[in-house]
Amino acid sequence: MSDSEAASNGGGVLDAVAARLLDASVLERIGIAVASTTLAILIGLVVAAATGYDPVQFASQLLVGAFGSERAIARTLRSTTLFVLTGVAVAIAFRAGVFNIGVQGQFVVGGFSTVVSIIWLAAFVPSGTVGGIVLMLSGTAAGVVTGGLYGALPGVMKAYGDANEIITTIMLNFIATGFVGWLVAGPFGDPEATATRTRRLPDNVELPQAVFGDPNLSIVGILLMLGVVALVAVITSRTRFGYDMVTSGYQDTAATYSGVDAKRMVISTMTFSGMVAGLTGALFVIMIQGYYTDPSGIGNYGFDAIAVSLLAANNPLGVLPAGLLFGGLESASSHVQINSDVPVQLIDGIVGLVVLFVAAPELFRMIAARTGLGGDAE
Amino acid sequence: MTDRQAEVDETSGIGRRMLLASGGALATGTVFAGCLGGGGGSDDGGSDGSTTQVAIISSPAGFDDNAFNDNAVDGLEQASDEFDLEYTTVEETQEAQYESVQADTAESGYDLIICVGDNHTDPLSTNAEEYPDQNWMLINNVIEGADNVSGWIEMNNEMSFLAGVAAGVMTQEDFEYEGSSTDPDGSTVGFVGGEDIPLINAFEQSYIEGVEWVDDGIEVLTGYGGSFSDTGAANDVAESQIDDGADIVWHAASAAGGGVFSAAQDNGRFALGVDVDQSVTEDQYQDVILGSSVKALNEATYTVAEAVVNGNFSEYVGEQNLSIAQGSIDFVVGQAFEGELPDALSENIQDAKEGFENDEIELTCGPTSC
Amino acid sequence: MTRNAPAVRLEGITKRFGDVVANDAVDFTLDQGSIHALLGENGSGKTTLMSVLYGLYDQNSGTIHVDGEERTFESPRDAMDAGVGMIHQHFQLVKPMTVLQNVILGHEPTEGGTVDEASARAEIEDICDRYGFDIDRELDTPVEELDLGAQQRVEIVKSLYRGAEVLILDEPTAVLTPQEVDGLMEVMNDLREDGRSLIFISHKLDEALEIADDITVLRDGKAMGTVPAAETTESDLARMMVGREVLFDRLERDPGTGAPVLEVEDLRVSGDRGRERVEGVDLTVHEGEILGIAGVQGNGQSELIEGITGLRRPDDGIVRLGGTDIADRSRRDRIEDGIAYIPEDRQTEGLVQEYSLQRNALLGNQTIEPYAKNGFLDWDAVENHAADVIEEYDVQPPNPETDAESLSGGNQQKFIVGREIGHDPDVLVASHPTRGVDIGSIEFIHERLMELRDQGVGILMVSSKLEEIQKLSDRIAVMYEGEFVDVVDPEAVTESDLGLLMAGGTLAEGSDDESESVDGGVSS
Repeated sequence: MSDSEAASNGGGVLDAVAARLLDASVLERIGIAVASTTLAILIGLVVAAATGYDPVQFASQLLVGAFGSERAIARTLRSTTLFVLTGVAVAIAFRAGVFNIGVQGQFVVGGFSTVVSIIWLAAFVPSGTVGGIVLMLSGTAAGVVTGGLYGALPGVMKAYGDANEIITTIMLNFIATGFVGWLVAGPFGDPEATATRTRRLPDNVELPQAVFGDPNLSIVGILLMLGVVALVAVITSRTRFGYDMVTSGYQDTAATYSGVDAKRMVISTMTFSGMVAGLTGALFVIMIQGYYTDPSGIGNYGFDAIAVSLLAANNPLGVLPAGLLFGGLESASSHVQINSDVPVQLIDGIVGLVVLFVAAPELFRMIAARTGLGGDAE
Repeated sequence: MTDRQAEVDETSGIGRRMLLASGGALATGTVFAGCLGGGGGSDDGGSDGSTTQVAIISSPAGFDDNAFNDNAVDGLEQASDEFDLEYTTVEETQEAQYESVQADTAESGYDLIICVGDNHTDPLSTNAEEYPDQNWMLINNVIEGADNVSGWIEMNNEMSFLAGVAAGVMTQEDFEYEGSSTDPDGSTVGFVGGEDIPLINAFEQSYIEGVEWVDDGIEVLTGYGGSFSDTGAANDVAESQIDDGADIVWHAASAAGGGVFSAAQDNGRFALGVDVDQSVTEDQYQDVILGSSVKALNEATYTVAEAVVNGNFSEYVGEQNLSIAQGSIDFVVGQAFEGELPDALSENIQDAKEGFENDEIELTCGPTSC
Repeated sequence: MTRNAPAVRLEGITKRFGDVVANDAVDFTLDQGSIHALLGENGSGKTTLMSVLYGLYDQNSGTIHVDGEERTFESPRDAMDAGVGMIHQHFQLVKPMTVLQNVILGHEPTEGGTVDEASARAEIEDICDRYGFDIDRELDTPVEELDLGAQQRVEIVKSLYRGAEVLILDEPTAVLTPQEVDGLMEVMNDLREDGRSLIFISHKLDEALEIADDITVLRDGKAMGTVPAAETTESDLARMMVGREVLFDRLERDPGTGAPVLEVEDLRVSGDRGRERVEGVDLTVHEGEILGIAGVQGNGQSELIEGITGLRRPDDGIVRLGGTDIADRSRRDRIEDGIAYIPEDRQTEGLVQEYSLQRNALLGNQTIEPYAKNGFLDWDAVENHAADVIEEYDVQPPNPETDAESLSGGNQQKFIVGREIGHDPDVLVASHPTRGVDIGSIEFIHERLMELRDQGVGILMVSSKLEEIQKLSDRIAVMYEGEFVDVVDPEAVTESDLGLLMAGGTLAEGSDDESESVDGGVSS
């Protein structure tokens, strides 16, 4: 027997596993996600018990921390908004078979350009509510456009230079973080601030609060999140562009056969994905931050979004519960830190397990689909 | 090390909370589960018989940075050993969350909440007003007009000056140790910064003034590696300074400083550490680290915690300094060089410190910028 | 070993994949020194049965005897050790490695820790001499530079080098030219005379009848019987395979005299690696005509078709549809212009495997009303279309919700044909319209193509099956190395004439000259 036969034999097992995962129906995948999440939390509780903490109390802390009070719910929704929106950005690209790992970078440049454009425009726009709305709309537009362009860039490099988008988007993340960090520290820094940050957005740039009275959560943000999810869901399922995009993701050769221009598709997908990431950046600065700071300290929403999207099997609607789970865990981890002696790392561990149980197999499934493992047996 | 530097370190961080936040929380663990109940802090801290509860919220660099954040926790650890006091670490690496985390912590009824890092300033100016009965401690800035915030500013300029004094003295000495030596013929020293930003420019300028305080004939070579984490870049800068005659090199480059130490080690010259006793934290280079300019943040947190326990927090409200006069900025001799260094060094350091205590030395730069 | 025992005896082999029974209590006996053909349609279980014998699958029940001894093969290595070798349909060769390296891969003779190439070389040359293989001159050539026939001989040498007494050849003729098929038959004959035993998997009746001693027919995983080749006929075998009478008659020909509908002038198209693969082709398809293109695969047919359908942008030349040059129009434009296309590869191009048939019914029709208006899709219209195609073309299972991947090749192909000709195209380009399709579906698809032709549609068809080309075409163009070498009347040529043209020869007088040019063209 030759090595290649050995490989194909060993590949048989892999093939079988891959085939099984490829065959998983939507319901099965939801089942897998729910079961894995439950299992991850159970393991977390067992570890808590094994290390001498009261697991029942830990569980209740998780719940209380995520949903136990108005403050907690507001905190959860705030994170959820960002996880869902960045998750949708990732899902758009993954759906189309383009591995946009650069959502974080697009999120950063989008948010930064929102801040810069609002501060610049503020000099020409009257203060007051109307001026504030004008500033927010134009700032958001700037964020969306910049995020879209920053996403389009690796798309163009892939389409016309055959540059692997995984590598280019990762590199562009570093560039975004470094360059915006430099801009924030230098040319765009607030000369009066001691910390590294830009000037604050003008006072009239403020969204109306949600029911919970949390200054960093607005009903507009929540509605925007739901609107984007609905929009992306409609686009992917009911439009020609969505069909072209999803078909390219499943089988690019079939998409080409059906008249999709593969190069243009990659670019428009990356642009679309980057636009949603840029929108998230705009919402982040307008609703939460109020200025821009060193991007290394704004969180990893664009990276966590990969796990959110995978947990949702890259379905825009599925991103809602997945984002809520991540938002809830993030919120609970903040609560647990402050209010109990259970190490917060346990919650990170649970998030890690969810990723391991759900997202990793999903990623494997996607790779299997791409490489033809588990494909036609004949 | 400064929070700015630590924050940059975070860019390479993989897990946001890679290690256990602090041994402290577990070590002192005891019964501390659940909400602490409402009530808020009493007016002036004041231990009315119950255990004093302190929370410390990290800078974006997070805990376990072997510097800034951990240094602040050390003071609390010490306080918890000596008083009826418990503390909780709250790690938050996202600046955008500070407003919310501070408020959540305030809602949980701690007697004192310590916010590490300048990044807490803006949110805290809101929350100090929102929670007027809460005692706050802010490290690296002050909240103007707040009567419930103890704001601590580290006099980085003084610290840098002491490093300059040490470098200025040593370059003029004829000193040898295990293969390294000063250059008796020349008197040139070096400074390697991380990023070229106002904060580090203040370090640089104050260092130069320290060198010149010793002898303004000494040449100071300065350069920036451009990063707080790229040891290779810092190494290149230090190597070229040593080539140009520098025999003592100090750095303000955070984690990238290791490159400066290795340059000194490879070329048989000496270096100085920053923030903490780096001959201990970077002990593979202890044979070239003559000493370190340090700031003792732990003393600040210890002092304020103690004040809360004793009910006299109000004495520390407003601007406080981590300064030579406070005894919290100093120059320590490297662990391999204890008793080895010439008396001129300790004499000059002592003179410089007295100069600050008596307000005889004026610096061009403030603690965070010029 | 018992010399008189059969080389291989399979008894009651049953192999299930989930609920699917791929082999149902199959008995099979291979006599020593004989060739036994295993015949059946695609999906009848031939490959599965042989994979059980070769140790790739574990059977659920049944026994394997080799040379009279019962064996269980955990892996192909076990089978190999027992002297059973298999030549897969898709060659298991490492393309950039040389012939020698491929042959000895995994069985390198070593001397003092290093590979003893000299002794391996001698042994391989010995094998080649014995069976008249020509590849001994190519031992240091990377496999990827060889044509498929030569690669197949490398596979055979590889098995022989490892001491295979029983050789399983899985559809070995599928990729070969008629002349290469003849060469393979000779090799198989030589191997048989040398005392080796061969299993020949095929769905081609004539080949089985020509070479085999015995023929076993599989249908739906069951063995329908074993007959000596000398005592059976094509129609008997076809009946066994399909389970009913199959017509082999030619369909009526109607040489098209309609207006030109597709005209191509001096078309030049480059392949994936930038090399020109279509080097100036002129062709005209008239209304109501089928123009068949014959040729050995890889002579530019794919590129020609892609240049016409818009999947590849031509470097130069004119593609005129109904009088308008469309050479610069995109694939999507050309779909809208009325070019339907049954693609070469239904698995990767014609269908999205994970889509339901309903979603697949939209493939290629995304911009066409009533399925799409202003960028939005009308799924009801798509669903109706899918249901119509399924009904009209008898696609099994008749459920629009079924994923394409769970359909058999024949049903997939019927669905594609139905989808593509469902919109009254002006021109249909059909590439290998019945490749890998069972006999029943072939007939059905052929009938549909003829109907379409009779309705006045111009059809351009590429096929590697000469009988298909001859049966359907009104004219046959033969393509060789990027050019049309001849356009012939199907009634006036034989299959071997076509084979000759396909190899770059000409239909001149005098057969001696011809055969020489064949040799020059075929062996690489």
